[in-house]
Amino acid sequence: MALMNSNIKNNMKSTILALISTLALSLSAQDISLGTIHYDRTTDYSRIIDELPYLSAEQKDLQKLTRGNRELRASPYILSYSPDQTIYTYGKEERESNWSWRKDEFLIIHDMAAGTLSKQYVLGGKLYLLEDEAPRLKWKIENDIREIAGYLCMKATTYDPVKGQDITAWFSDQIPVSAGPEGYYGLPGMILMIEVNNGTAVIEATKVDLDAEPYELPKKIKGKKRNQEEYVAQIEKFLKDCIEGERNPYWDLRY
Amino acid sequence: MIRLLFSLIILCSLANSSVFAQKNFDITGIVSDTTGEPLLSSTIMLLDTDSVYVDFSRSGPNGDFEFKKVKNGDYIIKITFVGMIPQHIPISSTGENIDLGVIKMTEIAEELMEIVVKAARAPISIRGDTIEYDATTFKVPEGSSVEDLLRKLPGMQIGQEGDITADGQDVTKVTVDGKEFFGGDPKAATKNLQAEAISKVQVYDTTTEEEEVTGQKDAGNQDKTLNLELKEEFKSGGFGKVIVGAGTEDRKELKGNFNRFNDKMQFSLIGVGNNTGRNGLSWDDYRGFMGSNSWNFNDGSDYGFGSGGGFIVRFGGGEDDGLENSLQDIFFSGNQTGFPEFLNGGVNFNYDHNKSKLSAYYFVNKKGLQRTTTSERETFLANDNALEESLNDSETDAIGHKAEFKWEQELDSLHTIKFTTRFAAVDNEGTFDGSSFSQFASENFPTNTTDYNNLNNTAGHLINGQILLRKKFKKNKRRRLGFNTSYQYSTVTELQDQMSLNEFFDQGVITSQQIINQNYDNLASKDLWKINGLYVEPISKKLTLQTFYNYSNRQEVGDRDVVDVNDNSETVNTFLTRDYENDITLNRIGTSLKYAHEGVNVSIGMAYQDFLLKGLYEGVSGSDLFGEVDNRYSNWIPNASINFSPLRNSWMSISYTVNAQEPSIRNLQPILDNSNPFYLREGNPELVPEISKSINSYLHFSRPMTGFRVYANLGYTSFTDQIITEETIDENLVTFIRPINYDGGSRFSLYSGITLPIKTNKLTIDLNIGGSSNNSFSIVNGVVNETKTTNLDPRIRLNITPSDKFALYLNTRYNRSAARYNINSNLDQNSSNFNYGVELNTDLVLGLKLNTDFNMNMYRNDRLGNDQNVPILNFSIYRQFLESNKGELRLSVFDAFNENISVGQFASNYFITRSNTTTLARYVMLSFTYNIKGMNSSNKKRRWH
Repeated sequence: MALMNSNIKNNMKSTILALISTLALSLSAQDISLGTIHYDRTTDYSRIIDELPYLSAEQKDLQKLTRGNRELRASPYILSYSPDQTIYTYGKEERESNWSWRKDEFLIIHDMAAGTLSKQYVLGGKLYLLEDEAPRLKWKIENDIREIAGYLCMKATTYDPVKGQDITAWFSDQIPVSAGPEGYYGLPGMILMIEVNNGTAVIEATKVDLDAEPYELPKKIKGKKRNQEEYVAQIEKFLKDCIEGERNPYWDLRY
Repeated sequence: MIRLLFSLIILCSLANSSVFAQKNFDITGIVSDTTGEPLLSSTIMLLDTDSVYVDFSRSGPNGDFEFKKVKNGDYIIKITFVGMIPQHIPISSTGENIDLGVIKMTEIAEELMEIVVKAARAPISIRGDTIEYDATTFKVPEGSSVEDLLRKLPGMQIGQEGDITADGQDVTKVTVDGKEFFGGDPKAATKNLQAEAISKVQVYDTTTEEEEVTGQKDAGNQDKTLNLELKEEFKSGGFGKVIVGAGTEDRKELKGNFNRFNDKMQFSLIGVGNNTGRNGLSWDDYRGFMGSNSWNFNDGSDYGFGSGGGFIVRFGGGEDDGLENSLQDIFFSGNQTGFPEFLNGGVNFNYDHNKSKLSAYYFVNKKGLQRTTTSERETFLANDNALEESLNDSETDAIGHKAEFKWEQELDSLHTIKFTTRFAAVDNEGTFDGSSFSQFASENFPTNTTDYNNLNNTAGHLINGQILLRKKFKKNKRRRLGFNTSYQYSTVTELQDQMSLNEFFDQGVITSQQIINQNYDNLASKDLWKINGLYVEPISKKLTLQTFYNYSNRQEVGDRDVVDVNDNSETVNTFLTRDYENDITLNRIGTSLKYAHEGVNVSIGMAYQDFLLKGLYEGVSGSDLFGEVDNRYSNWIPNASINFSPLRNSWMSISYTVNAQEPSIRNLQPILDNSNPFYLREGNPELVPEISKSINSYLHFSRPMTGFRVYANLGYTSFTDQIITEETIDENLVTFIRPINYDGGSRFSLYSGITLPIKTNKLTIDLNIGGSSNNSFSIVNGVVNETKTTNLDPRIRLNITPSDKFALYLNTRYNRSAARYNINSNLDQNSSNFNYGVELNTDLVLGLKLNTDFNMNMYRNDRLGNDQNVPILNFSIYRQFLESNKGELRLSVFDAFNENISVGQFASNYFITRSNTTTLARYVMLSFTYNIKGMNSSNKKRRWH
């Protein structure tokens, strides 16, 4: 009986090892340092409102109550990556409604070779383009592991002092590119998931496509130029004004 | 100089130290599995002692790795490899290189690896001896206990008796959020706690008392502790408050609401009672009461062209008995003039879980109202004017009940079905006493007078049921099908006692006297059937075709018995007693082509509608009162709209709609209605539907950063076959009214505004202008009267909010109406209403706060020679107390000048009216509020968040 048990165990063990090794093999067969990662982003506006400091506990509860269990809508994004550069932008959305909304230009280009970051953002109804050296992000490595889109990921956390957000990143060293979506990077592997403030916004990889054509950048990337210092000052002022004026900043600013 | 020297010394000593002691060091090592086989491409991270990531390296073909020129200090080396337990190695160096030698990695137990790699995609955490599962990713049926959940976790076994073993070791202790649960009996927690409440399950070695003291690990101790971490529920909460107030003039108020909710269930109660004239219910109260059901205003409506051209089948103006009012009408009704008394209350329950949604409410509202109104009316005749002065005293008592039940079930991902039933009942009682006096403007004696005394009792109920079906299609999610059908039945009984004394004069001498003493017994019932269908077919990525069909049939049956009361004897009034039966059927089919791409939405459509109106009207048997209507009207209805966003944060829409409104049966019946002896009415069987063609446009633009906003709303409607009245007024000022069709009326309206931030968050100006211009026709004594009324309503508002402690709002509004009559420009008139207001909210000393609002209304009418000012000042002083401002004590003074009166002014195309209603004036009230969640203490007005 015990023998049989250990046999099964051994069998299982070998299956799993085989699984892992095929995973590794299939990875090594193709060049994993080039590809496109598809992400889904969900933003929970009810949680955003819950984070606003100027509302009373009753007002926060009232909006949660009114929203109820409304399902969050996921919007697709893509990250086209190579060892030198990543481009993060909207993915192709299969429209389910028969209504079309205006979409703002949105691109984040991280040039790892040059160490620069370019990011389009809309603030106060104007389109800006941040262009500067990519700042170093201070990541703390934690002990959790999980699988995302077929890749084993490790957990790292950081804090965004500009927007005051706790960021959790799940990265996989199986994709040896130190990059990620939504303007996050700087870990020993590709970031496959970002959680902002414990899940108020979640950007999660759904698929890693190694055969995809690289994303073609438009000839001119629009937006008023800003450097990192100006960007930080601008966002900080905007947030301060909004909070003071009791307006939700994230109806305008990307959360 | 000294400072420079000092710096130089420091610089030199620094340079020296770097020469003599190493600042950096190198780290080397080899990664292998337990058998010693080197592991290629494992990740080696260099972390500081707070686990902050510094650098990384990958092992080479021989499992070797190195970090070069690491700054001296304390670090952690973390080594990871797929399928292996990550290793942490603390290191420290003051310059000497470190060789970690061969680091052997152990495999993760295969069961765990299995969950991580393929089963639940569950994050697990391995911290030394602790393994943590994310419980939320393991699906267990609703109502399962923690025990059921544990059975699902790999490496966990549950025995017959509920004994737990983890990785073969006994679990001797179960803790919840780290605290012992019921004396630590593992079964008590796992059997009693609901799996849904758990977010994480952690297993680690139990530390014995001895180990705690000695800090030594006892190798013989293999027992495990299971810790259950409770979910931090985001979508749960509750709030509630009670307000109690008492004041002078016998004024009282009591209000309470209570609310509890979690991610599945919502329960709420509300109750309001007062005699202050304020509704006491707000938009927030409505949301608090309805919860997640607040936004379902428009369930199962009649399908149509969709955006930019709604279509509503409105059937005849029913009497305002409150039966068909919605719940929103109760919550959003404004302040009441006169002396009202309210009592409202309700209970609501919503359930929303997985694929089922359920909601139910009951609401009762009781309203008593006592009101005295004096009014003047001037009617323009071809060569003279008629004046009427009247006084009306009324006392009404109304009670209404409403209940609704909705159930929505998602059958599968493509099909949804929804059932709705509604019930309403009303019981209204009222007495209306008054008198009126009419004369020609050129004379100074009466032509007729009336004294009346009416009693009215209305009771009725309504039931409604609806089924709605929505279907999506698998192949193309944009292909949709919608279908709904509903049935509504209502019945109203109205009992009236009408008594009046009417006197007619000639040259001031009484010529005739008429005493009316009649009892009415009206019974009216309505059956309404509706069927609606909608089909959306995507033609291409940008184009869709939307086709709809509406059917509705309404059957009305009425029975009016009128008896004349003469000295205790009752005789049937053969003029007024009658039965009627109406049958109205609508069929409408339409289609529209829609284009949607990159924020531009265009729709062009056409519908064909067919109305069939049948009516039968009969007096008592033997009377010649008989009327019949059998008309059919068919119309083509075009529709077009465009919506787009020309700039960021802007919105623009233009729509063209045509509406064909069928005449009411009452307007079609060729029978004289003499229920009011001074206003006789007769229907016109020749009437055709009134066609209105409208163009509406809307533009909105904002700059969120500064708060700048501008918007404009423009509308133009022109009428063909407009249904207007033809009036004949005889020498006794008795008016005979008949509806006719007439071409040429039009209406133009504008509403626009701009918000200018002068200083962000501190000072903003709102400018607003509304205006309208109406061209309407009426025929009075054979003369066509074209009236042009223009109305202009500009407003300015200043918001001064320098801090949380002080807020001042100044506003002024000027409303001017001008009416121009083509038959006699002498009748032209201008009336205006000028209003200004000051609102001040500020902190005072000792934690006291002040709210003040002052409003001045000035009414002018150059024809009536009117000049009336109504200044109203309200203020209150309050203080919030208790933890997080849960309590509030407030002393309020309403209408400090004791000047409140309600003024109404109205100018139509052939008459103008003015009325004054006495209304509750000055009183002082002391009120106490207790809010279980605490109140906001800002003096600024709330904004939308």
